[in-house]
Amino acid sequence: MSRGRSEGRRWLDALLGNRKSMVGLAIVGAFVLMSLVGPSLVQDASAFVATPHQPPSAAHWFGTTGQGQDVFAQTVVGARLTLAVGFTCGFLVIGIGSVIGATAGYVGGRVDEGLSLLTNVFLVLPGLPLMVVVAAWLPAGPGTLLAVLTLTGWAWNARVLRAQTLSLRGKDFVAAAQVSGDGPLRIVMAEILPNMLSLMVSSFIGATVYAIGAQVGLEFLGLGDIGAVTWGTNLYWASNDSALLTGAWWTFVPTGACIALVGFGLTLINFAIDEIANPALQSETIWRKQLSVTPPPGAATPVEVGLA
Amino acid sequence: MPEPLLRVENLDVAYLAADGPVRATSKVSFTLEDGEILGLVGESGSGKSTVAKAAMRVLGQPAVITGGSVRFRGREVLRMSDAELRQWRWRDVSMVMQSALNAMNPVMTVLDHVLDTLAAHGITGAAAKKRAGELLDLVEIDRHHLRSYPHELSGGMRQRVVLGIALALTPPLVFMDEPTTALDVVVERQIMRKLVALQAELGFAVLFITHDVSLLLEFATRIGVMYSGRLVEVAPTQLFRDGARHPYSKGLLGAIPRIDSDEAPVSIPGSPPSLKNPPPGCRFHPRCADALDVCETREPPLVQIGADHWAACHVLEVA
Amino acid sequence: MGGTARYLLGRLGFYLLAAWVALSLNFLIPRMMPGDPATVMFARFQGQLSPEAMDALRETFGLSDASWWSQYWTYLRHALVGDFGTSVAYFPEPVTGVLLRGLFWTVVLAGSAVVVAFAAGTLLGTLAAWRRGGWLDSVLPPVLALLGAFPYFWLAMLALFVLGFGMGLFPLRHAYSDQLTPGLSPEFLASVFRHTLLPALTLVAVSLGGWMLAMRNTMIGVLGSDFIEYAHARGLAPRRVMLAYAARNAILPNVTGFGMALGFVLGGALLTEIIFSYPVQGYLLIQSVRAQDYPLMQGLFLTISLAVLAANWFVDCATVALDPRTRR
Repeated sequence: MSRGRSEGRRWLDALLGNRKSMVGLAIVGAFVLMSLVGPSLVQDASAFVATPHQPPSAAHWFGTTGQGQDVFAQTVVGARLTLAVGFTCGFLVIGIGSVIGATAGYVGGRVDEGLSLLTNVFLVLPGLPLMVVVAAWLPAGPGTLLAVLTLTGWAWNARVLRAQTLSLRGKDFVAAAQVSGDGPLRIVMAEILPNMLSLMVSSFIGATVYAIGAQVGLEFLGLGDIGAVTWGTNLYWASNDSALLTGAWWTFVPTGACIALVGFGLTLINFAIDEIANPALQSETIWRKQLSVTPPPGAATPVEVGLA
Repeated sequence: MPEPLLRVENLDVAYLAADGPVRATSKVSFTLEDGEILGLVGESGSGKSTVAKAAMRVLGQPAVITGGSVRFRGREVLRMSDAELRQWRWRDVSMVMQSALNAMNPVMTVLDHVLDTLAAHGITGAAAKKRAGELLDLVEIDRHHLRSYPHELSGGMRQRVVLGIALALTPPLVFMDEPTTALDVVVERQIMRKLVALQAELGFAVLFITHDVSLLLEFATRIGVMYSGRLVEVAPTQLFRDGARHPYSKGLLGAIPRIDSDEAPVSIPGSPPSLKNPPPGCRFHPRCADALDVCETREPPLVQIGADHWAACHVLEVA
Repeated sequence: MGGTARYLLGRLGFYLLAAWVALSLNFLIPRMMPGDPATVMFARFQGQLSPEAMDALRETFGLSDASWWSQYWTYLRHALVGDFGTSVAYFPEPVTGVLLRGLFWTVVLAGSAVVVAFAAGTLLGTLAAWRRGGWLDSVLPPVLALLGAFPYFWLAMLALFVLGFGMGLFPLRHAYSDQLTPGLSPEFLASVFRHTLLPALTLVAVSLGGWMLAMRNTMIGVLGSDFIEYAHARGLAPRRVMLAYAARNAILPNVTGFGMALGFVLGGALLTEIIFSYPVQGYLLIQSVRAQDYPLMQGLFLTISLAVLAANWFVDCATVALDPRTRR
């Protein structure tokens, strides 16, 4: 168990020392903070406060919507529900994915065959049309979004985590736990899952990015609760109020930029995790940094007298 | 004195890692004459493969050559440009790698491998195809295997194929990096006999890398022993068999099981040192029964101790 | 070759199973949902549709008195001959007819975008991995990652706004000018090209980064292989090693990913099509959502699923052609 903890420490140090992850964490942290405190600082996002389609001004920083609502307030308030659904869905997806993936990978045999088949079927069915069909039959709202996003998102993680479990199952420490009489559940919980923590974190981030994107897409289609203020419904109304035909770019640009920034921040964190977890990438970077010249691709071992 | 085929002098190779460089070889020196089979023996991590690959400059990241010289017929390899290296490789020195399965491109046939090699050195078309057939004849593989993919051949056949590819341009020198380690003993013997027959026929020199000293006693002209990145003894095979002087060499010989003797094989106590934190002085001293005080502080240089016999050991200097 | 055929048949079996799951989901979803949206739908269409049409709808959505098994059996039999019922929004046209009109354009748009993005991304990833630390490797990944973080359809909105609405460089909607009659005339093809270019480009822009990074990362792994070292040792030209040895092997896992990504890109394409009012599946999809045209929605889900499954099987065939190790 101490191995798990020191491993966690090493990861934390590596992430804090990595420029990409620091930028990513700063961006995501800022948006999470905004979603928590922002809504109580801005005016009522649903209130009709001015003439529709006003360009940005001192009174309305981001202008007004086609209904005469304040775009800035809508952008800030929209973050809360969007991020809440996104992160919750990330957790659900990784939870289901790791249970199914670890079970299939650890138990093996018929169970693995069955679960893998199920996983592969869900992987190959196109997500968005399936989401649309399910969401259309359910009452609109965050619960429906969560349900359909999780339904279509879990398979990828289950597949990745199954492969990792398979490779961990053959390791010595798992064999040791088996010999000392630990049950399968204990081994999976205490030995397997802690050892794929970095993979689970990066899968969680990937799932969250997916959930935010897909959620916005569904709401844009009108499958969300169009009465609520979220980033997706902001775009739905922008499109509905003919923002493109009237030139009201300010009604869709701020929300889109926010979505992209959050996604970019999360992706940066994942880049950093990739760099830290992939020894080949890391050792090559270190090698290049220590050489005084850039070696041309793969041609010859560099010669540097007196380097070591 | 004319320049030997290959002269390696004080070759230093380091692997660059996050917590500083690791010296994989230091001050390795030896020469190789035309038509000779020099065997390099050592445990894994002793730097024997590193020496061969560094001499050909094919070591990839994170390696860097930090000192020394490698001369092929008097030409400095460490100062060759990329283009010169590409010309020199295979025409003058070729290589047989440990695992032919990993060395061959999994999506290419045997013929593609031969043609690629020949094309890189200006041989194309019908001449190249004809040569590919000849090479398979040379290593006694049926020509229809030119159409085979690496995974379709057995381990022994693959090693024969890469041996054939190594001879594609009949180079004067072939590096062999544990070419038979992955094979069972029967196949290993077959391939070694084939190799020696080809060597006698074509007259190329071989730098043969292995951890199996008994194989060298049977096939090599001269034997060099590596330990923890250093060459600790070099001698002609006959001399080495009967009069190896370095305590580590003696340990290697003592560990060979013998049919003609009642003495049980004795393994060397302890394990090889880490290259990251090597012991000070002679790197072998923690495992050496004869170690003196000086062995713990000063590193012994490789010195001549007899006709064509070199060793690096304080105990021998004192005696 | 017997082994290859068996492998491909096995894959075909898997896709048939997946198709059966899609069909069954399609059958079950309306029947398993809480509340009774179907009844609401009937209330909406009461009076607009003929009694026969209403009966057909009842059958489709499980409101008939027959047992589930017999309903399921009827459903499967109809699906097998491509009968997905009658569209409500386009009444009385059958769903199949509406679908077939859109399918071709989806293939044109999503297909060309996916192929271009895959080819360009793979090439860029190859070059970035080959010249590690070069400008391509340092500048492009973050830029493309930022681009990829935008929602597909939002980037389409922005592109349409700036390039179409603002600068008038591109037509604003539809797949071809409505003054032309569809055919193989040069004017018509040029019009199709002009209308397809911008939606396709936005799709390429957002998906390029994923392909590039995937290729770059696998290729860096492949570059550490023994067979790369061996190729260099034989004196092969760098370009040959890069293409025929490194990239040729690194592309194999990406081809498998290509099949998986198709479904994903198609989803993005659906949304992009909506922005551009491109007369295809995505456009039909939103029409069916807005009109609560459940039969059309479900038919769309099925055709898109089947198209993706078929594409995946072709990808499997391509993998067999590309990787001799899968043949036996």
